[in-house]
Parts: sequence; structure tokens; C-alpha cells
Amino acid sequence: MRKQEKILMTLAIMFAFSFALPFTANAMHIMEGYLPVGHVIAWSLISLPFLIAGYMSIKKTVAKDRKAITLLAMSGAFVFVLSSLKIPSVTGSCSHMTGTGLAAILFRPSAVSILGIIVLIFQALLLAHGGFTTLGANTFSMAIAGPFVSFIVYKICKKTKVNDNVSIFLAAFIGDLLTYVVTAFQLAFAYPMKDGGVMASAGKFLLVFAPTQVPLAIIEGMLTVIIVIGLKTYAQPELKEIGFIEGGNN
Amino acid sequence: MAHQHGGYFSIDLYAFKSKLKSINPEFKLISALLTLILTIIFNNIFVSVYVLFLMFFISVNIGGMDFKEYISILLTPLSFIVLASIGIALGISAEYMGEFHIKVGFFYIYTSKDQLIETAKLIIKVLACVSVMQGLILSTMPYEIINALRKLHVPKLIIELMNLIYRFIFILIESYSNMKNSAMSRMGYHNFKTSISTFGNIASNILVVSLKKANAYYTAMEARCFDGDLNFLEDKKILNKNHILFVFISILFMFVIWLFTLGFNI
Repeated sequence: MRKQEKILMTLAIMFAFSFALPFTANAMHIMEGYLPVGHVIAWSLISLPFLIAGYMSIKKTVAKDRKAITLLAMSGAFVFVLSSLKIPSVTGSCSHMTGTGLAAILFRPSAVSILGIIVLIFQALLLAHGGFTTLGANTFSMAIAGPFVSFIVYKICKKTKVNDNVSIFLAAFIGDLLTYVVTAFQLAFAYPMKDGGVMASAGKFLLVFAPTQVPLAIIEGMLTVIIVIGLKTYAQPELKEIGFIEGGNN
Repeated sequence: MAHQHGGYFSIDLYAFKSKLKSINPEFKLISALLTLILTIIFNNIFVSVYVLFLMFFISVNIGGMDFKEYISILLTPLSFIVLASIGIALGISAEYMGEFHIKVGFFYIYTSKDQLIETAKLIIKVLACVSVMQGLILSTMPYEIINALRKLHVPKLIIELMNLIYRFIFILIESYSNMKNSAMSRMGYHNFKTSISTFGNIASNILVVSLKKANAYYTAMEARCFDGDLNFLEDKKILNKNHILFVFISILFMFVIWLFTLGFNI
């Protein structure tokens, strides 16, 4: 009996705690100052090849068609705005989409890596989310790992002829979830536990962030499906322009 | 409220009011990055506290920032700090361990004095770093930071993209707030299900609007002789010797504090 009471009490406290804080469940930007110097450099170096590849691909696109520069810039602004909008939530907490899954499907992951790092810089400059020293780590989780996996999931689903909406949901959901897993591991590498090491620490971070991040990933998946349905209904020519739907008649 | 772009939260407007805006932006960017990196390398609680107070002094006393607004921006990352600190300070184990513990069902949540002290030190370091970043962004316009990056040899294409994205963000936010207002006046957010579908529809509509605007922008740019180069005017802000001296002494103090507190065992 007493044991049950204790469990109930703990759960009630945790529940109250989750409501009492002015929570903004963001897409887990690692804040300025969390990573030691070695990690700052390592994550930047890991992101570098992807960024160079992204730069090359953008440069090629722009060289081929100069008009692409405003299109790319608008796409970047779109990802920023999408990630800064407050999405509807049940608990009244304030949460945001990452928008990277959608961007990866629409604009290809290689371009998203460059757009992503620019968006992350602006999130630091305009919203004080993330930071300069953690830019490398955040770029890797949000602008590289998430989008690439979203894109791969989407392609696999297309190949295996899964329903379109299901494949978009899966791509956005898994991409978002992966971003959160990668961030948890980045924190775990920086703060391993004394007994248990990196894996135990990663488990802990996954557990702590799960209550905000898992529902967020599901909502992100749902919203992405609705957005793509809306686009397919109203924006056929625009989708052709960015190369999402194939077809010549514009 | 000072930080609103048509009902939208953004902190770049503070920079226009800051008394520090006339200082050379490259100099500000480099000193901020140097201070940040040193704070992280020293990883010393006294240095962190010093940086926290120094940046408060610079932003509020010299820069003329409102005290309450400064604190509210400093606490933006609060939710991340709280969750990450829980992750760092607490451990979960099936066995009895640690100095303090609570039994939850069949496992223990535990922590120790050392872990708590480490976490407290980390929180102060993070706040110090956030305040350095804030010191920069609350006194420097984003386009100046972009210009500073250009002078630090970031590729031109990226600089152009950044300049365009910065301008487009506010155009899209304006369209968003118009759409949101009209959806709200039509009961678009009256329960969770409609909110979700309204949000999705607005988001897809924004993409449509943004692509249309991108075309209009390109036409407008071409009409003004755009041939692949975007050129922006910038103010000349001359480097002042006193500013260099101030930053030099401030950073020197970081080294001094670090050296003096090396032996302290906290």
C-alpha cells in the first residue's frame, strides 16, 4: 500500500512539474556552452563534408538557373518560419516543428544541409535558440542526420509502393525522432556516466526528453502529411518547379 | 512590446536601440567568440560567474538594455537547461546506490553531492555562455553579423542566401500572421483537431505564397540589373582603441581569475 502511494506521489509530482514550468518544447537545440571544446571541434568537422557537398550542389543549381537563388532563399525562410511557429498542443505547452523532414522531402537533403545551418544561425540570432559553439553539433543532428534519414525513408517507402501519406508520415516522424536520438547521444558523449558510460547516459537523456519529443515527432509527422496534401491540392505547378512532382506541363 | 514583428517574437530589434550598436561589428563578433571559447576551455566556476556579471554590465549598464527584458531573454533556454540538468544530475539504477536516492517502483533514481555540484557549475557556465551570445546579438544587427562573416571569407553564395533569407523571413511571418488571424476569426482553432488541420493548411499555404513571392522577387531583382551579385550598403564603423583596450583587459581578467583559482577545490 505504502509503495503504491509513493509511486502515485512521484508520478503526481512529475506530472505537476511538467505543467508548472513554462515549457517550450523546442526541437532540442543544444544550448550554448553545453559542449566541451573537443566536442565542438569534432562535431564541426563531422558536419563539414556534408556542408561542402551541400554547397557544391547548391552552387551547381544556381549556376544552371540563376532564378534558383530566390527559390532556395525562400525555402530557407520557409523552414525557419515553420520551425518558429507554435504548433497546437494538448497540454498548453509551447512546441515547434523542426520542419527538416518536410524540407528534405521537398528540396533534397544536400540542399537542406546548407539551408539548415543558415536557419540554425538565424534561430540563434533572432530567437536565442541554440548557439555558436554548438552550431556544429546542432547542424549534424538537425540539418544532416534528420533530413538524410527522412529522405532515405521516403525513398524506400516510394520504392516499396507504400501509400503516399504513410510514407510522408514515416519520413517526417522517423527523421524527427532520429534528430532527438542523435542529440541525446551528443549530450551523452559529452556527459558520460561514471558507472555505465556513454550508453547509460544516452538512455537517461532519451528518457528525460522523451515526454516532450515523442509526441512532438508524431505531431510533426501528421502536420507534414497535411501540409503535403495541401500542397498537392493547391500547388501543383510550384511542386513541379521545385522538382517534387515530375511532369513537364507547367 | 519592443521585440515584435507584427505579433511575432524576435530579438533583433533590441540591437537597433542598443547604445553599443556603433561599435565595429567584426570586432564584436571576434571578441564574443573568443570570450565564449575561453569560458568553455577554462570551465572554471569563478570565470563563469565573472563572465556572467561582465556581460550583464556590458548589456544592461553600458548598452542600456532593460533589466527585466535582459533576464527574460537570458532564461529562454530554461526548459532545455532543466531537462538536460535532470539528465546529467540524476541516475537510474536497479540497485541501491548514490548518496541520495528515491525508490520508484523497482528501480532507484539516485544522485550524489559531486554530481549536483557538477551540474550547478555547468548551469552557471551555460548561462555565462548564453549571456555572451546575447551580448553580441542584442547589440549587433543580423545584417552586420552577415557582413562580418563575409569579411571572414565565408563563401559568397552563402552570404547572399543569408541576406535573402533574413529578408524573406519577415515577409513570410507577415503572411503567416494574416492567415492566422483570418483562420482564427473563422473558428479555425476551436479544438485540437481543427487546430492541427488549420496549422497544416496554413503551413502549406505559406509555401505556396513563398514560392510565388520568390518569383516576384527575382523579377524585381532582375529589373534592377541583378546579374548574380547582391550588393548591400553598409555603415562604416571604425574600430576604437578604447574598445580594444576594454576587451583586452576583460579577457585578461579571465586569465587572472583562472590562475588565482586553480588551487581551489570546487
